[in-house]
Amino acid sequence: MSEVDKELSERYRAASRDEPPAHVDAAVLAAAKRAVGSQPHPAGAPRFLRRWYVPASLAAVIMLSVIVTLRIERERPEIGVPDSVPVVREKEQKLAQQALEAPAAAPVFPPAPVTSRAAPKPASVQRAAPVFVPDPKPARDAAPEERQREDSLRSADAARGPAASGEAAGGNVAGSAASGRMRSEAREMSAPAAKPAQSPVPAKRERAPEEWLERIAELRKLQRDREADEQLAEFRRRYPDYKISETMTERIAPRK
Amino acid sequence: MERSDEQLMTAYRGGDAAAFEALYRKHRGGLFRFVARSVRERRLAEELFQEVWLRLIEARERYVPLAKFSTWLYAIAHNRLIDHYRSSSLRSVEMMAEELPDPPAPAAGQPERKVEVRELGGRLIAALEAMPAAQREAFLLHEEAGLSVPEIAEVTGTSEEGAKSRLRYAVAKLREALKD
Repeated sequence: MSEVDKELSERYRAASRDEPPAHVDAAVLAAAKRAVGSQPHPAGAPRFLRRWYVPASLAAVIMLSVIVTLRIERERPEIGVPDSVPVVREKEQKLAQQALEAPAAAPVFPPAPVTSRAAPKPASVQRAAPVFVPDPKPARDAAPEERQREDSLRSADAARGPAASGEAAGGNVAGSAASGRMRSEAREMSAPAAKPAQSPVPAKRERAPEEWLERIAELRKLQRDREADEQLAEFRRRYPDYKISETMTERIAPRK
Repeated sequence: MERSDEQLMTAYRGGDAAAFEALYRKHRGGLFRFVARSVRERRLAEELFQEVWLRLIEARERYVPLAKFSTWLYAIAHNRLIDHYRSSSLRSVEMMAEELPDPPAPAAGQPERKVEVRELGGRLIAALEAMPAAQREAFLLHEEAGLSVPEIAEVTGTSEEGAKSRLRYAVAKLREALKD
């Protein structure tokens, strides 16, 4: 800088030596410390992190929205359950197959007559009776009524066509035929006349000993002694070591 | 290794109070004399000096080390002096844009001033205080802040030619005073 020569500069510096007083220094320094002491970011998140707060929040919200939307889209088909939905059809088909296999695989309790033992029993009501599966048995061991019902079902299937006649068909046609049958049977089962056999118990479901005994006691109570005796014998074979309580023994014992 | 003013100010912006203290120790004398020569009254100078630093503290978040720290500091001081002149209604605003108004003369017989003039080469100081404010400011920015002509122009908001002209006039007057 050539505008101010060295001599002038030295003279000025020699003449001007003013300094701020100590109290001003103290006040300024205290203010400076207060300012940085009250600012939150040194103790909190660094500046570069704070810069990403808003974008990160937006990204999180968008991702969450996408995930929720996709989930809703995936779950939507299960909300409506129309008849044509394959999932439902599969379930019905499985139920129909189980119902068809049940008579051949296990003895079936006929439904308890409400009024009299001699009263005629509709086949559909008979099918709705609870099924015990202590041991799988060939179909010829099944009750004559059940064999008859099975035969009638088979002939009906044959009349409908080969696609509806058995498991070999395996397709939706057979499934829908069986499921239609199941639906009609389910309606009949829900009728008041069929009350003792209301629950469509899946075939091959094995009951607990207590439950089995309870059923025998019920048969006994309904004076269906022959069935009760058969079931009791079956129970003994199945659970030879099972200790029956005195109360239950009285309930299931043959009447004198 | 000693940190630059810009590094110190950046550190202070990040919460380092010690960095501010280093900056303050370095610039306190020059800034105080710049303000004191501009307003002549010591108590007022102390008040304005303190306010300049407080403004800097408040503005620390906006500090960007693109220019010299001293340019920024003295720009704050310049603006504070302009505000002071405006509030004092010493001159019209139009005049301030072209040339800073002269501050009011100290009260006659002020003992503080008499001592200073006598002990510190009063003729130079008297000449400095007698010259137009814009010329005095240019000289003080050069001497106390160590600013170059372009930096003086930047701080005062004038052209480089204007800043250079003011500085030349100021130096000429001070040399003349020393000859006497």
